[in-house]
Amino acid sequence: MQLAVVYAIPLTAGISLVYCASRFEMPEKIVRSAVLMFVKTIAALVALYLILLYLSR
Amino acid sequence: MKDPRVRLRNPVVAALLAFAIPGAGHWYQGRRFKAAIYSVCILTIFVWGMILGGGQPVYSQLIYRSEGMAPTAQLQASAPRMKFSFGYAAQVLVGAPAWPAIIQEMRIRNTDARIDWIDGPIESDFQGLLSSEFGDRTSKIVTGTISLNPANEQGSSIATGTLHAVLADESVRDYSLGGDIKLGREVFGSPRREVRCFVAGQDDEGREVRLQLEGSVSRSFVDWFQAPRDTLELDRLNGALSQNFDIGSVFTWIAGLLNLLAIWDAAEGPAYGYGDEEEIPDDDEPTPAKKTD
Repeated sequence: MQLAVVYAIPLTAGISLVYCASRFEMPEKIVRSAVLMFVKTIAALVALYLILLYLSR
Repeated sequence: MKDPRVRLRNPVVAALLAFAIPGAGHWYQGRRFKAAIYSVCILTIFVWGMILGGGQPVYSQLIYRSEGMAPTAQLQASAPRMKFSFGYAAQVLVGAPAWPAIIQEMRIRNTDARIDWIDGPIESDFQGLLSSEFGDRTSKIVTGTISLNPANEQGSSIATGTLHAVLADESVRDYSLGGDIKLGREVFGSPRREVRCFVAGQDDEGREVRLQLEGSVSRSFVDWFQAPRDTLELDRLNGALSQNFDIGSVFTWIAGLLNLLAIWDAAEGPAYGYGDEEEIPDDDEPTPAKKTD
């Protein structure tokens, strides 16, 4: 796996936090929804990565 | 969505502060937790992008060479033709960290480039080519240090100086410089400033000949940081940094676009409300069927 792919993890974390901070005011709600968004996004990226890996074989 | 519990103070001032520095608008409103999230996340992504892109992903204009006789855009005396870089429309939203690009653009627009003029002494490392002016034009790759001085203190179109050269075969030679000089624009989005001048040297048979020196010296940070550049410089960056330059550019765009959310939040408050409201079930969810006896 190329190093650049790993960049997606902290980048997704940052985007999730900023996006959820702009949706809610309560710190607990921001953190909870950001964690959920992060997990969903990473899962989607991993699924996409695996599909592309399979197709490129 | 406006919630009475969210204190926006003066929303216009807060939005302007949020635009200037990510998180500053929320700090002004006393929303410290969100201020920390915005400033840390957005500035980290921006700085990370800058590091990946060798400090050069941010620029407001791309320069095109419009003078047929000039070998490159840096060595063009007339005002350069510039085209807006669309990436900057996203980058500028990050605020103050991207503002130097506007100052550099103004410096290029408002300053006449005197490419055949040297104002003061230049001491720098050098990399370039040394070639014979006439004949077969064989060139040698040269690195080393260069010392250039104007012919008089007020500045001159004639430069003198020395070149301490290391040739490709690792032999070291000192050359005297003299004659007309061409020096790249002072402000330009490249850490290297092009220089062309003449060198007094000897050919392979020991005869005195005039050689031409073409290469670059280092440009000061304040003269290249976020300044408009040409496609040659972008090619050099892509060659030197490969995909990292593009990834770094995208990171700086993302940082700017994320700050747009922060500006909106500072002006209007959180989009979905405070966060402790009861969740309204989706209309699409099937309602349980009522039991009938």
